[in-house]
Parts: sequence; C-alpha cells; structure tokens
Amino acid sequence: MSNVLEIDDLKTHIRLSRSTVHAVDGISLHIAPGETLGLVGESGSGKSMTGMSIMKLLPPGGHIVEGSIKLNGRDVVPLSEKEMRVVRGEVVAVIFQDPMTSLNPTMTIGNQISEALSIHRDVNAAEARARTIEVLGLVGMPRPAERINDYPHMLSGGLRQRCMIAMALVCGPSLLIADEPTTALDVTIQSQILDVLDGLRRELHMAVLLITHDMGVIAGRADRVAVMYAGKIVEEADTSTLFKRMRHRYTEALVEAIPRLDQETSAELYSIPGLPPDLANPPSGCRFAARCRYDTEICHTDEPALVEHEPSHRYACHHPAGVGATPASAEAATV
Amino acid sequence: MTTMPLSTTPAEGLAGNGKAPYLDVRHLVKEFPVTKGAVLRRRIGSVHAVSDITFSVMPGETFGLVGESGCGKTTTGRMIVALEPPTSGSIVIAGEDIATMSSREVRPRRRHMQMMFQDPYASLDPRMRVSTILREPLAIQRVGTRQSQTDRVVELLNDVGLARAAMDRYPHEFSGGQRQRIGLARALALQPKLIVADEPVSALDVSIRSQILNLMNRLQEKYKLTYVIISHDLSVVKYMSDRIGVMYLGKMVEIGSGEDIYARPAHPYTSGLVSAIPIPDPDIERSKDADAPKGEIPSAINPPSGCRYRTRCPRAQSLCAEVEPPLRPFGPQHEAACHYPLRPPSEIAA
Repeated sequence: MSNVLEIDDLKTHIRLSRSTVHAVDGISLHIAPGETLGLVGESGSGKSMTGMSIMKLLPPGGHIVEGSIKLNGRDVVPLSEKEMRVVRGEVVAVIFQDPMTSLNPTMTIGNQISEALSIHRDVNAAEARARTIEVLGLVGMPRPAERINDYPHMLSGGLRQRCMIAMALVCGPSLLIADEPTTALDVTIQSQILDVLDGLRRELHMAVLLITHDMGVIAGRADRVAVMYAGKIVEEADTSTLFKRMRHRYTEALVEAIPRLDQETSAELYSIPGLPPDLANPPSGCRFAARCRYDTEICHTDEPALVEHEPSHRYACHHPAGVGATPASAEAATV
Repeated sequence: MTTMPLSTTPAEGLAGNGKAPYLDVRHLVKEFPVTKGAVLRRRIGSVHAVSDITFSVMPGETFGLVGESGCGKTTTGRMIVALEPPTSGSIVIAGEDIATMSSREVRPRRRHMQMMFQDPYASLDPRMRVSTILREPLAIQRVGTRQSQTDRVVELLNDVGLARAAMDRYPHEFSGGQRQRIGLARALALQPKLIVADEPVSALDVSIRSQILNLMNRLQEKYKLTYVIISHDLSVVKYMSDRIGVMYLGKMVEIGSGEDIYARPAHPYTSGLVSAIPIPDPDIERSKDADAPKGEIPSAINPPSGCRYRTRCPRAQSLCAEVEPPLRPFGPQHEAACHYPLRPPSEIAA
C-alpha cells in the first residue's frame, strides 16, 4: 500500500528580523497507513516545525523553502491556504500538547467538535450531533451524550485531551500528527491517552506521527523512530532495532543521559556537555560534533550523510557506535 | 546502593537508633478554604491538600516525594520551607518545631532551609542582574559586608559551574539549564542544610537534565546537604533519592527505598504508577503485565472515605470504604497503607 505521508528533502526556514533560522534542514520521511512513526528530539530540534510544515501552519516568518510533502500522493507544498483548509481535517489533523489553550473556553465541547464536521461535510444538526457522540465514545469519554454540553473548564486535563483527539478524528483523517500529546498530563493519564491513540490507529488504520521528547513513550508506542537533532534526522530505524543497536552518537548519549526506573543507577549519569547549535548559523560538519565524546577532525569539516548502512536503518555518523574501531580521541574524552 | 555517593549517613529514619533526623514531619495537615461570594466569602468547604502525613529525613539523606498532580507533594514542600503555614501537625527541623513559630521566629531560621523551583524562567526576576539575584538572600539575612557578599557570589557561580562573567548578565541571557544553575546557586547562598527542590528538572530538555542532577549530587556531597526532591517523575526521584514517599490525594500511601518502590511495591497505587512510567526499552515496554491506574484522581474537596485510592483500585473491597488503612511495615524502612496489599506485611514492626 502506498504511503500516507512522504516528505522529500524538506527545508523550512523561519525569517527573523536579523537572521534566518534553518529550523528543518533537508529531511525525508514516510509513514504507511496504520503505522506510528515516532519523531524524537529536544526542543529546537525541528520536530514540531516538521509537524507544522505538514499542516502548513507555520509561525510568522516561517516558510517552506524546498522539498515536497506528499499526503496520499498529493504534494501540499504548492497548495493555497484555501486548498489547505480542505486538506486539514480531512487528510491530516493535529493534536497539541496543551489541551486547555487549544480548546475554545466559550464553546461547549460538542459544538467545537461538530464545528469541524459542519465545515467539511454537508450534515444537518442531528447527524452532526450523532457523529460527535460517536467520536467522543471512540476516544473513551464517559457518558458522551451528556458530556457534549460541557465547557472545557469543566473537564480534567485527560478528558480535554480526549476532546482534542475527538476533534481531530471527526472527519476521518488519514494522518494524525500528535505533537507531545501527553507532556502536560500525569503519567497515569498519559498511558490512558496513548492507549486511546493506539486503539484508534489500529481500528481506523490511521497513520500517526508521534512527536515527543520522551524515549520511553517512543519505545512503547512507535513502529519506527526518527531521531532529530538541530534540524536534521540523524538516525532512523524500526523501534526495536533502534533501541538494540543505536548507531548515532547523539541517540546513544540521549539514552545514557536519562535515569532509568528499571535499573540501579548508582554511577553518575552521562551528561551531554554544552548546548545545541544556533540554527541561524548552523556549524559545518556534523551538528552534534561540538558536544560529542567521539568527535575527530572529519566530524567538524564533513557533514555525514544519512545513509541506509544496514537494512531499514539509516544513520548519519562518522564514528557510529558498535561499528569499527572507536576513535582514539574518545578514550581521552570519556575518562 | 553501596556506591551511592549521595548520602554520608545511612538512612535510619524510622527505626531511629539514636541518630536524630534533620527533618521530622509529624501528622502534617493542610486545608485550603473554599469560599463562595465576593464580599462575605462564606466558607463552604476545604481542599484537603495534605491530610496527616508523617515522615523523617536524616542529615545528608535525599528523600523523594512522588505523586500525580494534586497529591499534595508541592504543598508539603512549601510547608517544610515555611512558605505555607500548616493547618496542624509539626515540622521539626534540627530539633525545633517551625510549625508553631511566628513568622518573626521563623525568619532567622529560613537560611537553613531553601527552595529550588521548577520553572527557571519564572523564578528569577528578569530585571535583576545575576549578581543581585544571588546577593539578595545575603542582604536580607544581613550576612557579611558588601565585599564578602561579592566574594560569596563568585564562589557560588563557581560551585554551579558558571563563569564569573555571568554576574553582570540578566536571566534572559541564559539557557534553561543555566538558569536552573542560577536557581541552585541562589538556594545555596546562605549555606543551608536542607534544600527542597520542587520539580528541579521537569522544565529542562533531556540532555540538560543530567547536568543538573549530577551537579545537585556533587554539591550535596561537598556541603553535606539534606535534600527533599519533589517530582512527578519517578525515574528522576529514584535516581536521586535514598528513600521515596509516594503520595496520593494528600496521603502518604507508601514509603521505601527506590528498589522497594520499583521492585517490591506493596500498595496497588505504587504498582500502578510504576507500570504507567514508560521505560526506554521496547521489549520491557511491550511486555508489561501490570495495568496503569484507570480513571482520574478524585476531588480533594470531598475525598473518598476510608482509603482514598479505593475509587481507582482494582483490589478494593467494602472494608476500604469504611476504614482508613494505617501505614504498616513491609520490610526494613518500608511501609505502606493498604488493607489488601500486594505482598504480606512484616509480622511485627522492626
């Protein structure tokens, strides 16, 4: 089956008054129907900007410079705002981190959900109401027929996020972008919401782009993972391959830096020195080189290409973990 | 646990074999009034934020408090540093009960207990230079001359790994991680013995978190600090703490070591909380058998009778609605409050 999403060499820049931020700098991605791709990275890595590029909802100054974004085979980059309005909701929908700021506090949740339906579909009030109740039921809202008259402030954070998902789903999109969908929620509610997303993906055969900073969420929920750093994808593989044989030194460092609940970590955690680079002036060579334990001269001069070195496993690193000899400079650096 | 550099004294909290705890919290209660009407503000009820919790922390020990939002962990932390007066109960710090003191009596003692806040963007005054921010606590407590205060500021910046040049800069010129270092330096300024850190790394990026956690551990060793670390992130709390208290809706439901909490939980809530936390390993994550708690935390205005977790608990029976379960021992330094625990309790208190 053909891919729901195919991104080819996407570059998204944000023009500021005195500089241009290379927020997304030449990334390629694809997601098949019913598949969850985890896009993981830290703030400023360009992961949210990738999601917003697909929706074409970029902040002021943001624009797609190069590349194509195909949704069900159709490139959305050249589409006008009017044409995009049809695509949003019907083909692709998004849910954000904070459900309180994304919901309209003056409208009942029922009206907010059916509003999307009445824009996209020719339905009467009774049909819209029936569909709204059906969708709220799908996302696990208790007593949906009563709850449609509630205002957002009457709901808990978890229920609000369920409403956001219902709103995203109401027109049956092929791709759901979930941008840090559970970061504002408690862990027990997080697992409930992720269960809802997982169930819907399976039932509706929807493609999901799961954007998160949490490696644990990725491990449990994604079929494949793409790791972003400073506007680039640095490693991509199916989830179990990535966690068993991570190659890029950034991925490796990121996992070593998190305390793990299931392990006795008495030693110091690895801490990645420094800060991510300024994307208004991206460094030459590998963007992680300045913070990497294993950098050599080549890392600062030649940018490593993202190549499929192993079957379905792409990475862009001159000194990948577990492949060949560890560079000599690393010995000194790790002491 | 043997190589833990954090604690200079072994945790002896509950058994109390002669060593006095640095912080001893007993039957602590905090209720916030719920009022109605703009003028008369009739009291129509209370939020039971903290309902009778007891725990102690030994000198040099790190005690972690975990729980979901609304469990009362932050309110507990604020009471310990005297930012919030308790409704009842006692908070004994270094042998003195600060809960019964007037604010005038508390003031000179504040230098021994300091707080580190979650949001490094909101907790530093944007109009103050770093030198002013760090000097402020010294000036308020009238410590030293102006010159010795400046020397202290330089020393503090050095302690938290910032350059001396940081003194003349403003908070917005720093990244989140650097700001959290400034927050830690400010907490350290008066050479406190106890630091309450409320979500110290939650606002930071993953790659920056470990820098701050390692720094906190190094400073604890250097200055023999006692920490209370409050977080919703059990992984962070387990990494940092000698002992952990799990709170639910104002109650302490379980206290134990990190391994007790993770590998041998007695309370169904603890076990549910542990299983809800995603672990960065697909094999473990996809073979979890325990279920995360269903439903949501009830209102703290009308908490459930008996055991407060019973409305979400898979093991709840009629007794749970009638009688509030007391904390019972489940091993050395391990206690839980449950009528139908996941493992048998110890015969007699050790």
